[in-house]
Amino acid sequence: MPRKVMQGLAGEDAVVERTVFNDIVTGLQERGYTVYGTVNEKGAGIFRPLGDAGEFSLRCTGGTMPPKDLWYPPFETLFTYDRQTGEFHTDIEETRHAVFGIRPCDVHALLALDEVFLGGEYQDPYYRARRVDLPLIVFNCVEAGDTCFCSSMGTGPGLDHDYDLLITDLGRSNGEGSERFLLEVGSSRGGELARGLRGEAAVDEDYQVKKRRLQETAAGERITLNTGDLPRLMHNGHDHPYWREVTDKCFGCANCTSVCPTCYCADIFDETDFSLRETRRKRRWSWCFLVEFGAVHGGNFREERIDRLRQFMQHKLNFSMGQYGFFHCVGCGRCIVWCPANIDIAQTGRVIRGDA
Amino acid sequence: MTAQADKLKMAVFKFTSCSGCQTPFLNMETEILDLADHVDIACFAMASSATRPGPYDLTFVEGGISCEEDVRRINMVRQESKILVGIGNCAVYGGPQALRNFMSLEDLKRTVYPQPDLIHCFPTCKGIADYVPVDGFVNGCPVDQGHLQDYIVSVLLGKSPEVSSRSVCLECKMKENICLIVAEGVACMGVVTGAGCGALCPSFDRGCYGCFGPSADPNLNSFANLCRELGLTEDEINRKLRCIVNNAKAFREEVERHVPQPVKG
Amino acid sequence: MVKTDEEIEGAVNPTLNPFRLQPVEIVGLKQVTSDVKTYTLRLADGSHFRFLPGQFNMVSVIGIGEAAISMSSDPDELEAIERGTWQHTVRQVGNVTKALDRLQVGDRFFIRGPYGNGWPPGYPLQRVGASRDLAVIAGGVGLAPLRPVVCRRLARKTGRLEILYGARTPEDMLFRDEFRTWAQGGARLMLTADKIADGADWPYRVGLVTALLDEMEILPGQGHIFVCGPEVMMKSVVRELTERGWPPEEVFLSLERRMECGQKTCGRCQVDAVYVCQDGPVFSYAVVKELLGVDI
Repeated sequence: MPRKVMQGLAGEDAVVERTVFNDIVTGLQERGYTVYGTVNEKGAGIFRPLGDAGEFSLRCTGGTMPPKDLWYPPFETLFTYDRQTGEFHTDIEETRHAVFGIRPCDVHALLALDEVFLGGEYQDPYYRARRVDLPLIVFNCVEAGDTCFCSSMGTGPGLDHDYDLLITDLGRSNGEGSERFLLEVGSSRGGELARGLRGEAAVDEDYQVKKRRLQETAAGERITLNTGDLPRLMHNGHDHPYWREVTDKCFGCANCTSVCPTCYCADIFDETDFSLRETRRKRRWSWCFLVEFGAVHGGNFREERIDRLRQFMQHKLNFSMGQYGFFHCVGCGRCIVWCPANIDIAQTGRVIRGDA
Repeated sequence: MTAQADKLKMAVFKFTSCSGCQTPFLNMETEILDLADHVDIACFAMASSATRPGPYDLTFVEGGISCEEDVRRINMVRQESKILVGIGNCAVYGGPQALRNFMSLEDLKRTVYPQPDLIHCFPTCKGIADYVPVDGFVNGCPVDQGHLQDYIVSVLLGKSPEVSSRSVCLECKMKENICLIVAEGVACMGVVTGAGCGALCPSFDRGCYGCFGPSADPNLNSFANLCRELGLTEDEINRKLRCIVNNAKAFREEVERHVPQPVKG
Repeated sequence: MVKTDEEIEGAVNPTLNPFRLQPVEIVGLKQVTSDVKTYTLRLADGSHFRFLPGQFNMVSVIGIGEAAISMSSDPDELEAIERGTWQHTVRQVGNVTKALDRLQVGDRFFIRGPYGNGWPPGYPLQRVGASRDLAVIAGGVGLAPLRPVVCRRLARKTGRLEILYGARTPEDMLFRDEFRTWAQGGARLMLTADKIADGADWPYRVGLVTALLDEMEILPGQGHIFVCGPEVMMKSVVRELTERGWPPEEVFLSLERRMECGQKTCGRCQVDAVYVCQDGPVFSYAVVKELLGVDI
């Protein structure tokens, strides 16, 4: 089929070459965004502000840490109180971050946090200020990482909503020629960014290639977890002996929760400067693995490590379904990668549900 | 400016230690001016020989208890102090010098000193809480200046200082360090060590030495297993746990569980 | 779960910050027990503070921090409404409550709230707890969040009211000077103390609050029971109530959990799939007994 070669796209889906990545990054920068993407540091992918798309590493999959800190930073000041004048000062800054190369699992994690911070009776203005203008240039995954299980969780390897631009590596035609990427436009903002890029109009065949590549990726995921009826089975398995087995290995170090893209728990605390002139009320990430997490005066509702470990996994694979109607595990596999004790949430889920 | 009498009367004392946990007070160069507004430093020999007698509202003690003279002094300090806070590995656990607790004192004296009979000390060095009631601790080897400041601010405001069970791992993650255990197979003690140093060593690709002592609920058994998986011998595990913070209960007990005790005497 | 930016923006009133604090002034202070005080408060800007019985505020002493503290006064009491006042009854146990203890009449601190669902929905207008009989069972400072219910109930003079109250010692009992008024208003008051001093004048029971259950006249099917106290106390209470035939749907408990935000975002008070801060703190025992992580 003859292809229509576009000198400048009008904001529609297209097949493009790698060179347009830089145009997209530059386009975002020209619009005033700081563009974050995974760069390769010491063999691991870390989200950093990109100078240009040349620094972007396509092979970094989701990155060591999720880009969560862009919309939910580990530390933030809620307000400042002047102890001498008694005045409050609240500074909510609307950020203009863009993520280039966020993966479908992390987009699902972002949507989960939207529900937490914006979906309830109280909307969090601090989160909102970072979320409201956040272009997402999503890369579908055409290669499964060793610990990925997004297809089990229904969060990948492809995405079909909530992207501004969606890029899928189509490979090279017949294994040779230049690399080709399917660029899909998901919003008017994405359409703006795509306007003027060099590319060819996308045809049916391109979508077929994308579909096949995503199917292959899903089939290539070595970790699986059957989520059918999982919350009920996890509920029933709350006293399964396997919890003890995992707890005996667990360090309680909270590495798992600190790399989790959906963990949202926090401490709210006051910090007063040395001169006692100013108190800042701050919010910082907290984790259910901390001993003090469930402590009240005169007791602790999760005294034992097994209680804290179970809270983490039960929340991801069971409680979140009751709270929000979907799992807060997106199958990104980071908690498995970075657990120094080799604890595997999917394996735990399989054992508790009786599949392993 | 607050009147002298309304200020918090503070003291710093040193026992058996290297003085490294007192230096953060000296390093509070700009902050010291703020401090002077609210705190009257009545006794801090390292900063000024002009010391004033107690009682003190807040006393920081550096160093472990190593000899009769230390015991006499720590009892005196306790008596003179409303709030007594042990700072640093030595005051909390006994310090690096507590390694002698696991060896023969006589052997050590003979090895180190030309005239061993001049040395009069206990066969052990222990934290101050083994001798007197203590109101709080600030961990570290050395302690962090920010933690000391936070402690003083807490006392000034009338709240109990924060105690967190965060591990060094969390400080690594916040710095986006690549985990040495997972990526490099290093037997890093960060997983069983309390946070506070800002993951100093792992940030320079060195495994954690456990300077801030065991975390709140450390799984030492799992750590020993991890070390074995990484190829460490029992002796190497022993040395790892009997290093800087050797006399902390959790580290000490793990060694005792897995390694035969050297015979004393 | 999918939201556009426009929807996100539209859903939020940007001028509304749920972490914004409201200054309150202490207009009355009363020592209730040796370590419990009742603070009568009003908003510094003079506006009226509305709440439901069983709800709580996040109370701030800036520099110290925040603590979740329930309201202990009747929100519908006319005099209080006219003056714009309400009360918190607080035991000094933590940093914030100890800091409150150092304050005097005229001093200010801060609140945000009210948070939580309060005692059964719609109380006292709807079915639950309104026309039917009600028993409240409290342990220690657990009587504080039930006091609004007691006061409201006595004011409405509807249905029988039984109060079963236990504390460590008679001296630890809250609101002792109000017991007579409550009894004269028609409440059946049953008291017990875990222990009493030798030779103390104590005409009531000695023992746990469960020892009072046999004295209850309200029977299963006739009304509802509201319970508040330490978790171990609530556990033994509901066990005995179940044995006596009380359906779990008619027994309501106020749970305690660590709270930092009160807004379902900090995650600290999560139990199973509920957030105690907003889905609770009051739950029926039918709900509580299914929750993983609650030992009741």
